[in-house]
Amino acid sequence: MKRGHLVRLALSFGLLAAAVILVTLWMKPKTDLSFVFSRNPSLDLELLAERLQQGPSATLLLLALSALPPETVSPEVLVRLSNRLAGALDKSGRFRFVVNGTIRGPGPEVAVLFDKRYLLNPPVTAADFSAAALRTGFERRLAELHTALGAATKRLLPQDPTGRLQEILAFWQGAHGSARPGGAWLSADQTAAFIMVRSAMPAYDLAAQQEVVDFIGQAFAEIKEEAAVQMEMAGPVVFATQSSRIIQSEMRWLTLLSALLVIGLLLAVFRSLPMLLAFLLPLGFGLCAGVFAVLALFGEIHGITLAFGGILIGVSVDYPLHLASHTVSNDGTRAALGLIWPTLRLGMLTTVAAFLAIAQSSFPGLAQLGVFAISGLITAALVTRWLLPLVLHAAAPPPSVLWSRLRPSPRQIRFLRLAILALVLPAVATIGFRGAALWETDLRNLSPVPAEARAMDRRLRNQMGAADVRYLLVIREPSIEKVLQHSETLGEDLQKLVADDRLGGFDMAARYLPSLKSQKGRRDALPSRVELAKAVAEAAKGLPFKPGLFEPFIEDVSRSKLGPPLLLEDFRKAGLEWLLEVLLFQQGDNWVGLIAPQALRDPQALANFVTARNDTSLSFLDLQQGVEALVADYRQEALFWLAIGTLVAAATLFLGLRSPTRVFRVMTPVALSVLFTVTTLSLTGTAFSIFHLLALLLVAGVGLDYALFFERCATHPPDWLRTLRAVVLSAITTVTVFSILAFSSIPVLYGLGQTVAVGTLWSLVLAYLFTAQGNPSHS
Amino acid sequence: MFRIRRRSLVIALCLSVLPLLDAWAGEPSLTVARLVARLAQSGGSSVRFSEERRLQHLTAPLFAEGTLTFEPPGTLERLVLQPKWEKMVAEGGLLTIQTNKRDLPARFLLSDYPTLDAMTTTLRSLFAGDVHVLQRLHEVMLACEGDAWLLTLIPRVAAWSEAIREVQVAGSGRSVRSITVTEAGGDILVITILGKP
Repeated sequence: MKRGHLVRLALSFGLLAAAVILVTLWMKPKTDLSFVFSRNPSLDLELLAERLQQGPSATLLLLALSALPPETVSPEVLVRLSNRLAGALDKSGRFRFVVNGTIRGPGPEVAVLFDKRYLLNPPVTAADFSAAALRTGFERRLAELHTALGAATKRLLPQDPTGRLQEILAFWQGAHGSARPGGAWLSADQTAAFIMVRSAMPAYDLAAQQEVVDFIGQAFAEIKEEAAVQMEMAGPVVFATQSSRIIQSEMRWLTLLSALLVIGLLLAVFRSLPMLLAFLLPLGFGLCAGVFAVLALFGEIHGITLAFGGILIGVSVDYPLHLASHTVSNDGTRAALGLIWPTLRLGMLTTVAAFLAIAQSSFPGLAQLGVFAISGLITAALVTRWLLPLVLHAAAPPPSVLWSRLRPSPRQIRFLRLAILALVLPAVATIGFRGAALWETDLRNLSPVPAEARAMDRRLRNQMGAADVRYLLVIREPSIEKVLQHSETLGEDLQKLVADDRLGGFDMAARYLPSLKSQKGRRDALPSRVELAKAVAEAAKGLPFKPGLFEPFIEDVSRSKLGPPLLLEDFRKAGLEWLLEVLLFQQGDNWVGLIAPQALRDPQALANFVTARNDTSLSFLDLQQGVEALVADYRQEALFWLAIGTLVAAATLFLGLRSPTRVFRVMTPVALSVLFTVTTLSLTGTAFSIFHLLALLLVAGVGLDYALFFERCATHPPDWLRTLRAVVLSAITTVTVFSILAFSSIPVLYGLGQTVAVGTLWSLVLAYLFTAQGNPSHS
Repeated sequence: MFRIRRRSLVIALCLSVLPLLDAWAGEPSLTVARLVARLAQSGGSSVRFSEERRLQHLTAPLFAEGTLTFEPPGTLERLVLQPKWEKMVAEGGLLTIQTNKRDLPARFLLSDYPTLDAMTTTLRSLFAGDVHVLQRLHEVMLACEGDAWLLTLIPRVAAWSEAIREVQVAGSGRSVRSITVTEAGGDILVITILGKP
C-alpha cells in the first residue's frame, strides 16, 4: 500500500465521517406506525392510526399489585400500598391522571363543574325538588353529620343538601367499571389492586416514556418496603419502551457479533487492513446518500426505512469484494475495475429499476424504502467505480487451489438441474396449499414484545374491566353539539342491548357532557326561586337546621336555571379533560364521538344495531379487522409493485445483455431461488409479513448479482476462479450476517435473517447450477 | 499521670451522683415530652367515648357514643355504636369507612379531608407517644395544675390550619379525659373518654 493511497483512504474516511455527522444531525427517525399507513387512508383507518399512535390511550399504563407468592398478603395491605403508590405518582406531576379506585375528595378545580352540577348527568327532574324529595335528602344529610365523613364534608351542606355531588361522582365511577362496593379497585378475587395512570409525556417520546416507567418502578420500590408484593405493568407505554429496549440491546450484540465474524473472514482471505477499511466506503456513503435522498424528497425518514434500507443496500459490500478479488497486482485495481464494472453496473441498474417501481407506492414507508435503496445503491456503485481505485493499492492473493476443486462433473450438474426443476411443481403446490395461512394478518405478531407480556396486558385489562378496545362505535358530526345529541339518542337505544345482556354497558362523552339540548331540558325542570324556597322551608320543618341555612342551595339552583351552559371548556378548566379526550375529539372538519362498549358479549348484535340504523354519520369499527384489512392492503400493493419491479428489472437486464437467452439464463436461478426460499420457509410454518416480502427483494437482488457475475465468466473464462471466490465470499458473509439475525427474538429481525440466509444459500447454489455451468470453461 | 487519673476519678464520681440528685429534687416538672411518653400506649388500647358536636349549621348539638381503639404503630379505629353503627379506620394515609356491617368499607385518602387528617394524625401520634411528630405538626402548649394537665395543639401544617383552629387534650395523671377540636369555622367537637369498655 503506498503512502498516497493511505492518505486518500484517510481523507475518504474523513469525508464519510462528516457525511455521517451531517446525516445524524439532520434526521430524526420516526418510530410510529406511519410506516404502515397509506397516504390516502379511509377516515376510519386514519382514526385507527391516530388512536393507535398519538391517541391519549397510547400513553396509558396499567399497574397491578399482587402478593408474591400469591395470597400471602391481605387485600387491606394491597389497598394501602396501592394508595401510597397512587399518592406518590400523583404528587410527581409526571402523570395526566392517576386512578386507583379510591374516591378523591372534591378539589378546588372541580368548582367549575360543581357550579353547574344540576346540568350534569344523571339528569334532574322537577320531582327531585319537591318538598318530599328534599325532606328525604335533608334527613340523610343530618344522619351523615354524625358520621366521620359527613362531618368532614359539611362544608358543602348549605349548597348541596340533596347530595348532588355524590350522585354525580357515583355515576362517573360506574362508567369506569370500578363501581364495586366500597369503590376499591381490586380484582374480583381480591388478590390484586389496580392503578391506571396516563403519562403526561407525548407517546412518541420514548426516552421520556422510559423515564416514566423507571420512575414508577422506583416509586414502587420505595413504598413497598418489606411487603412481599410484586408490581406488574402493562399498556402501550410499557410495550413501546420494552420494544425499543429489546431492539436496542439485541441490535447491539447482533451487530457486534456479525461485524466481528465478517471482518475476521475478510481479513483471512485478503490479509489487508486498509483493504478491509476501503470495503466500508461504498456502504457508508450509500447509507448517507439514502438518508439524504429520503429526507430531501419526503422531509422525514422512518426508523424502519433506515433499518431496512440499510439492510437492502448492505448488498453493496459485495461491490468492493468483487473488485478486490479480481485485483491481480498492487496496481491492478483499475484493470480489475475494467473487468467487473460492466457487470456490476448492470446488476446495480437492474436492482435500481426494480426499486424505481417500488418508489411509486402510495404507502410512504414503501416509497421511502424505494428511494433509499435507489440512491444508496447508485452511490455505492459510483464510490466503488471512482473512489476505490484512488484508495486501494493492494492485490488480493490468488485464489487457493481449493476453489478449483469446487467443480461437480457435468453429469452431476445435469442430474441436479433436473432434480431442481422436478421440485418446482411440488414447491408451487406447497405454497398454494397453504392459501391464506401463508400471510401474517396480525400486526401484533410482529411486535418484539414477548407473548407473555402481551398476555399479561390482556389479563390486566380483563380484570380491571377496562373498556373493550377492539370494537368502537364512531359518530362523526360537524359540531360537538351534534355529536352529543347523536350519542344521547343512540345511548337510549343501546340501553336495550344492555337490557338484553348483549352488552355490559358503554362509555361516551355525552355521559359526562350532556348536549345543550338536554341541558335545556334540565334547566326547564329546575324550580323557580320562589317555588324552591317554599319547598325547602316545608322540607326543613322540624329538623334542627338553622333557618336560612339552605339559602346558598336556592341560589345555586336558580343560577343553574339562568346561568351559562356547561361546555367542553369547563372540563378543561376543571382539569378533567382526560375523562373526555379519548371519547370526543376533532378530526379534520368534523368532531368524532366514540362509544366504547364494555363487556361486549355479542359483537354481531352491535354491528347489526349499527347497520340497521342506516346512518352515514355512524359507523361500527372493529379495530382488529381494520388492522387486518390494512395489512392485506399493504401486502396487495407491495406485491403489485414487486411484480411491476420484476418486469422493469427484466427489461433493464435485456437492454444490458441484449440476448433473450442470456436474460433467461440469469433470471432462471433468481426466480427459482425466490420460489424455493418461500417454499422452505413455508415448510417451517412461517407466516409471511410485509417484512418477509422486503427480505425476498433482497434475496432477488443478491441472486441477480451472483448470476450476473457467473454469467460474465462465459465471456471471461480466465476470471472464473476469482469470480467464484468473490461470489462465494459474498454469499458466506451475507449468510453469516443474516444467520445471526435469525437468532434474534424480535420477530421482524428473526424473519428477515431467516429469509435472507435461506435465500442467499439458494441463490448461490442455483446461480452456480444454472448460470455458471453454462460457461464454456466447464464443458 | 497520677494527676490525670485522679481527675477522671472525680468526674466519674460526680456523674454517678447525678441521677441521685434528680431524685432528690422530688417529682420532676411535667414537660410535653414526659407527658406524651407517659400517655404512649405501647401495647395498644381501647376506650369507650361519647362525643358532642356543636355545629354552626344546626340549632341543637349532635351526640354519639362508641369505642376508640389504638393499635401500634399507627392504626386508629373509631367505632360508633349510637345513634348509628359506623366504623372508621385510619391506617397510614388511608381512611376506610364502613357505615354498614354488610358492606365492604369505602376507602378515602386522608390527605383529601384535612379535618379528619389532622384529627387522626394528632391522636395517633399522641397514642404512639411520638412527641417529635406532634411538635413538628403543631405548636404544643402545656398547662398543669396538680395532677391535671391540658395540652393545646395548634396546627402548623397549612392544609390543617385552614380546617382546624386547635385541638385541646385534657387529662390527669396518665389518662386522657377529653379531646376538644375547634374547627376554623367555629364548629366544636368534644370527645369525652369514659374508660375501658
